[in-house]
Amino acid sequence: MANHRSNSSNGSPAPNKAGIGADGPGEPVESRIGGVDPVEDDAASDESLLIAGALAQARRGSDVADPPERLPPPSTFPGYELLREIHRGGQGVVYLALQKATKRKVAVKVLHQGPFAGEKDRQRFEREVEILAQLNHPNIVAVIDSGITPTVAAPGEPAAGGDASGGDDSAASMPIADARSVRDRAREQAKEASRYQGSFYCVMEYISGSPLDAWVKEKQPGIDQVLHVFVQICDAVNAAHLKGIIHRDLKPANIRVDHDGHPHVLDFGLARVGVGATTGGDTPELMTVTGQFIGSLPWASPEQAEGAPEKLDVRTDVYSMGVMLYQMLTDRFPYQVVGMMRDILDNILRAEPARPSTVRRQINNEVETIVLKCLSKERERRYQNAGELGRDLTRYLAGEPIEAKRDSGWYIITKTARRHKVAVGVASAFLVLIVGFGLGMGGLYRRAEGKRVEAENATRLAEAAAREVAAALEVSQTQRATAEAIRAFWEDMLSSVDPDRPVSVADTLGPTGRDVRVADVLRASADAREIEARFGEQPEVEAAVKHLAGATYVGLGLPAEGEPLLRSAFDIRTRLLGPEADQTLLTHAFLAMAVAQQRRYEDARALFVSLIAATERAAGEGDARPFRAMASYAVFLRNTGRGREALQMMAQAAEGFRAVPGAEADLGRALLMQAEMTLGYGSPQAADVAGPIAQEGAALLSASIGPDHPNTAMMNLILARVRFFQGDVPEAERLFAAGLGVLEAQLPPTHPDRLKGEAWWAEHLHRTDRLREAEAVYRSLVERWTESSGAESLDTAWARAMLGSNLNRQRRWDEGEHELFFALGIYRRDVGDAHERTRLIAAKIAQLFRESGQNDRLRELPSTLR
Amino acid sequence: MPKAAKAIKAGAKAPATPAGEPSDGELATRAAGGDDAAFAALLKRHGPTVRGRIKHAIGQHWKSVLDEDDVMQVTYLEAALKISTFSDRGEGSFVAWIQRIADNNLRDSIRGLERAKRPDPRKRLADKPPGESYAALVEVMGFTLTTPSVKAARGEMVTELDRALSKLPPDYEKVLRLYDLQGKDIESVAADLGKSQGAVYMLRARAQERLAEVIGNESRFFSRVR
Repeated sequence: MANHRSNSSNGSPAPNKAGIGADGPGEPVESRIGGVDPVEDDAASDESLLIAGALAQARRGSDVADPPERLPPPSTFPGYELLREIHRGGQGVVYLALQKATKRKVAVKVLHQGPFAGEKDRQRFEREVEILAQLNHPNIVAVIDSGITPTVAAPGEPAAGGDASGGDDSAASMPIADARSVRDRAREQAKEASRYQGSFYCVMEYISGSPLDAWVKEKQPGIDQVLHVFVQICDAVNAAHLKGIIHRDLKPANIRVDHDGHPHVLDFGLARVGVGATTGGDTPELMTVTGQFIGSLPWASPEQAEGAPEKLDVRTDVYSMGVMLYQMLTDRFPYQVVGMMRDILDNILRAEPARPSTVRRQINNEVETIVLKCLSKERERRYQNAGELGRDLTRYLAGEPIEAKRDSGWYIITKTARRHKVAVGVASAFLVLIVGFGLGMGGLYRRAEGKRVEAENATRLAEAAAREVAAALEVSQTQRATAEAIRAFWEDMLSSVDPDRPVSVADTLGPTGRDVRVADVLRASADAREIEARFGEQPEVEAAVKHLAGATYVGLGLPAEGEPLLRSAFDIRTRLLGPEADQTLLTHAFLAMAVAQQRRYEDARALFVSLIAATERAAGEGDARPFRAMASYAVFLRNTGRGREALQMMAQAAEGFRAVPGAEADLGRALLMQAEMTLGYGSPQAADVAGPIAQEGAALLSASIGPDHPNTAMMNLILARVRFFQGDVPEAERLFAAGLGVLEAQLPPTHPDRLKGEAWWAEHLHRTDRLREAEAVYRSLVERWTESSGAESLDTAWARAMLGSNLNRQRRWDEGEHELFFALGIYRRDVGDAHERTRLIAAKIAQLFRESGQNDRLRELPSTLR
Repeated sequence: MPKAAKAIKAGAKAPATPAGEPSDGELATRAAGGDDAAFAALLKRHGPTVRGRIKHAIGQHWKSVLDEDDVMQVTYLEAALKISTFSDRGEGSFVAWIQRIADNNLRDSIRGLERAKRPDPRKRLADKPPGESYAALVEVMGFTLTTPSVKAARGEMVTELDRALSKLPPDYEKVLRLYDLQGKDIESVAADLGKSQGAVYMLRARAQERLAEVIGNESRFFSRVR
């Protein structure tokens, strides 16, 4: 159904308008589409022509079948008859051909000529031929022949003996032939032929079948079947490794599975000969620019992504095989390989692979362990060559125990935590501090001043956490490493928060910094059964590890998963060490937190009460711990909407701190909380009660932790609110300016204290009728709260409620209603109709309906909230 | 060019489906499923209408450098590539869809021609060694290549860009190679392609879009990803 047409140009300089070929599959398609003579009156046939051309062109773009271009003339590769083009890549073309002497099918690979075929490509090509010639393995494609094409027919003379392409557009078949187009065609054919003069080519064994990924898609092999194929791939790659050859570009496209299901490794174009199998000397001829990336990114190893050629060795291939294995088993990549190159490189370098079993449940623990071992970022932790990988796969398939051991949970957590500094552990830091076991925290508070000391605190806490575990481990050589990893983990976790700040971290309700990735790692490595299996003989260690894992879950805002671990650790420690031991108390505190986060108020209350009792029993003279436990309980109460009880409890804690020498900072913070709760949503009466408390607290904090400490700044902001309600606006604004200045200088924009401080400022603007200014601040808060704790967190909802209320004042009813109803939905869902804030938001909506003359809509509020 | 603008605004009135024949929607669905005959029937049905409008919009002013055939050719190619994204919203929606593609093509072509009168040196990548012009093409395409990845990217980029280019419709590939990579001037690219200059600008605009899609779709700048 070939359509042919030629025509004259329409004034544009177009010397060689050619015909259209829209041919059957496998036949060559001439890519050019002719212009159409404007005076042509057979419009329908014009249209057909253009449409056919468009379809022919589109077929290539659609990736269904690369339309082979014109085949080179038959004389190009003596002894071979070209059948069709099978692949066209950046560097060359591969043809299917018949070896005339043997009548077997072969693949002829020929290097592109032209402006993009540099010396480097040629060297690479020759090297591949050389390397393949050295490798004699049933699963590596064999080289049959290689050489340089001879020169062909002289220009101007059509290739003799008919075109091997099957005669797509020979001049004779053209319906409208004119002399010019025949001449053009001849010239073009000659040009085509000359393209192949002096080209490097090599003839290889032809593997019918499909690339590995296509094979998997087509055959849907079971896991074991995939592994069997991989054993053979390992064997082939190992044969190369044994000769010191590194492939460096292993990917599914470079592996072809034949009809009997045997894989063949192709394309050693990027391979290089290392100096020894694992030492990996440099080969500058392949790395023209130091750090230039060579290979295919999704399968690249961290050392390739890093651009560190000196680090490439056979373990690079092991990594790529790991990616392939992962991909073949799960149909996904271990991490995101889509998007900006920068991000992809970063993922290769740092992202922990998602566990294969989370993608495909049938993948068992051992297979997962094997895959993940290949994908270790550090070369030392991978299989050291393809042979080792192959042997472990064989062992697995034979039902024998595999050699790979999963990375220890703590190792993984440490690595992961490093990527997610801020995400981990705000809440944990709070409790570590509030209970402050065996760390001499009182002393720290006394001399605490400014940032340096905070950093020191973080380190000390981290060391203490590590000491705790190290002691339990009785420090053997390998265990020391675990202890070190734990130390590093806690240091990371705590250095990102301000450990000297129990008050601001007090939001036990909202999940802080939920990070699913870290949680995934935790689930993979630190589930209770696995900890028991590893440490069951050493209950102290078992408890320590469970405690840390559980505490981390709590820090991640995943209390439900942390709770069983913590409960088990608590039981073990209570049994072994007694309920008043420091370690037991620490676990106790985290357990209370875990339960509180799940909003099981009664359970949490019981745990807090027993915690306070235990700390009291444990406390010696002048010990602040019981009161810290009380303070944290008070925070819990406040956050669950039990404001009056919370206030009482905090006042009690404050009284306790008064009696403890050196607890000025604790007292200051307790007073801060007390003043804040007393002031509540604000009124002149409340301000008169809160005023003296705030003033005392401000003085204490300023003296103990310094005037520029964020806690002191928060105290000043509370004082500012007090002054506002007492009618002293100028003083209020002076205090706001001072306090916000400190917060902005010292805390990141999404820090909860800073957000809270700015919310107070917005409230102040709102109350002083600067509505637009207030709106802008509220909007910024909504944005930042969304960023830090999620679009549906209580904090974000509250910010939106405040924004809604602001919009109402501006009489922008629709917008305000939208915000308020959103907030109401979240509050009802998360804390219920009894919570004072839920009721407050409902009241705002009712007010809106009344003020906007929509009394009839009051019915839209749930009856419990009217 | 007010005339072109008018054509773009003109919209498309839908000729009713002749009795007894499949509707546009049916044909489009079949075409999206790979039925070339349906695709051809659809375009034969509406092509001449669109062609008439385009011819009118080109007018005397651009006639010497742009031919409605060029516009229709690229329009049909674009339609063939995108037919699966067409969603039928009733009678007339196909003709509107194809008209929009044609209008875009015409607009890009005329923009190119107008810009050529006052060339912007930054847009041209000529006179650079091949590696450099690849990088420049990537930049023109709007991919961000910031350091240090730009360094790491070079070698990979050239190979992958080559691969992506080889997946484009041949005309698209050629225009990018000749104009952007080899830095030929517009006249000689037009001559090499056997097309008008206006067609080259149009092809280049479409080719860049397509290239971005190929690279993005395959989820790789860099190698094939499923």
